[in-house]
Amino acid sequence: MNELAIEAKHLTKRYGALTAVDGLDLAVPSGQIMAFLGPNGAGKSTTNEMVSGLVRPDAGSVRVFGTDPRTAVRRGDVGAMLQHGALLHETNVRGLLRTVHGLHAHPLPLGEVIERAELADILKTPTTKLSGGQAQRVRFAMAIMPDPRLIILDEPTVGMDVELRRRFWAQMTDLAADGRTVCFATHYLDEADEFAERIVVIAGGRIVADGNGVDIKRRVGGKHITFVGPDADYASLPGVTAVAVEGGRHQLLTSQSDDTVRRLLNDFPIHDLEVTSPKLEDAFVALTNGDHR
Amino acid sequence: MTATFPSTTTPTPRRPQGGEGTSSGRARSAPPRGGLAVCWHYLVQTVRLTLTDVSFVGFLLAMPTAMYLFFAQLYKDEPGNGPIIQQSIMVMMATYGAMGSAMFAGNSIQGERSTGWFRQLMLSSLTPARFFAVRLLAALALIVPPVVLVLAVGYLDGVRLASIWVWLRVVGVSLVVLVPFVLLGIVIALWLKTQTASAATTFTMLAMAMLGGMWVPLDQMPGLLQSVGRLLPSYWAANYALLPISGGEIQMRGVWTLVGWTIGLIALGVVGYRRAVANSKR
Repeated sequence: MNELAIEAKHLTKRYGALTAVDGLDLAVPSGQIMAFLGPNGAGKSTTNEMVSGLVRPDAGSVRVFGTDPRTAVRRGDVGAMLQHGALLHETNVRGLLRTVHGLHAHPLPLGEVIERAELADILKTPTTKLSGGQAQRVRFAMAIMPDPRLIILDEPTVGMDVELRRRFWAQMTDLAADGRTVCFATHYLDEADEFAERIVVIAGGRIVADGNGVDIKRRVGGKHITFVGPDADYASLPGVTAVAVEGGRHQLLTSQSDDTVRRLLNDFPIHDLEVTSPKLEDAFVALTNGDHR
Repeated sequence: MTATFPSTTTPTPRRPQGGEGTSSGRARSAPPRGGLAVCWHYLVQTVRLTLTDVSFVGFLLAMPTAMYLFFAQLYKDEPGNGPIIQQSIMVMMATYGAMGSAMFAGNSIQGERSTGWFRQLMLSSLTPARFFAVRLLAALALIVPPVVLVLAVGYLDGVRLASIWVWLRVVGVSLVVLVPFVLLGIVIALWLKTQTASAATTFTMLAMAMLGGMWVPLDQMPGLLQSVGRLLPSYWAANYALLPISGGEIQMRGVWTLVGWTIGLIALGVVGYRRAVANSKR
């Protein structure tokens, strides 16, 4: 019964020899807050560009609220915050907002946009003189301007300090409370976990994991334990999600490192133990190559 | 690998559920703004932004005005035909400013495309077709300010034409004969890359003005340059803009020249537009 905000079927985009998005199937119900999590070059931006109608897929299809993305954009159903999105030059923030405001079918009142994006104190600032965080606020204003039902955010908090980031997400949560669908790309697992009800992990243009924050965190957010010891059934230890042997060292990926280490040291004659946090990139690679289900 | 969302999803507690909370935002009272209203808004904003652009004001409003004042002071006190020369200089400089304005406005779509602002615009109710149509209209509208400004300065400087209708005809004729230059600006913007486009626009504008006899009358040039000049739309644009004052006959050769350039530039523009839309990521 719930309408689909985004429905992608075998969505594919190639740039020369590079396949940026590779047969992606995705259904996002209306009202969901979804995060695209993935390393740089995973295909997050290209997917967002196809959903917002800026890029045409080479194969497959994407529909937004049951229609093609460009029609949805023209109706004002989609607002997007592009990565490094351009700002209009030779004017100030107020001039930019006025120009964009009149281009939407049913925009939010300008006052509300200024308030939500906290732009009141920089309205007279020329767009070329904005700091990184201020420019992001202007891009955010442009994304919510159409009063969209689907908000697409491509790495929205890049360039924001911790405090601004916190306020940004408070604002986003407030907007989403009206039943808007929010789809944001990030490479911060914590950000995805904190603000999204669903996390889609994407790497190499493909979806490699799809679930809620707890699930994804268990699979990509764990600790990496390596040690020298006998061959044994380490996979059955608490929290362990993956095992491997490399260069004479056993390697475990675990979601509960304390419990795993306690049992390891108690039950096995191991030595040279190391516990590290794998880089998210490594976790993605592990997810892409192996099957840890 | 496929990833369809599990139907048994449980809503997370941190997500506030708004009312029945299914699809849309708030209820909207006003009817949605239509395509025409969006285009009109964009037209007004484009003209407004251009008129506050420093380089536009400097080169295409201030410079022709200053050139008129400079040359007019040299010739206007000449016994006999002084007033006629002064009138001609006024119309020439007005046409020159308007020609530059038309090309500048047409060429300005290049900036939108290279900065990525065009992509941002495509996230609104504007479509590529509406974008180009509006920029064409804006460029036509921007022919008017330099003409009106130079004529106004001329009037204050003592130029008197036969009647108000002659003044209006000068403005009206300029609007029509400068259409090819709007197209020329757009074609350059569509076919050339950013750095080359603005240089090419300036170069073309100066060449058109000089070879078309806008600065030095064509009949004072060597024979070869005269025949080149008669192939240019700038020569005929200036020639026709002077007609309301000189009262001469319309030479059909000029009409064909202007129509030929217009058709050629429209063809180049259409091909360039298709190529640009197909190649760019919008």
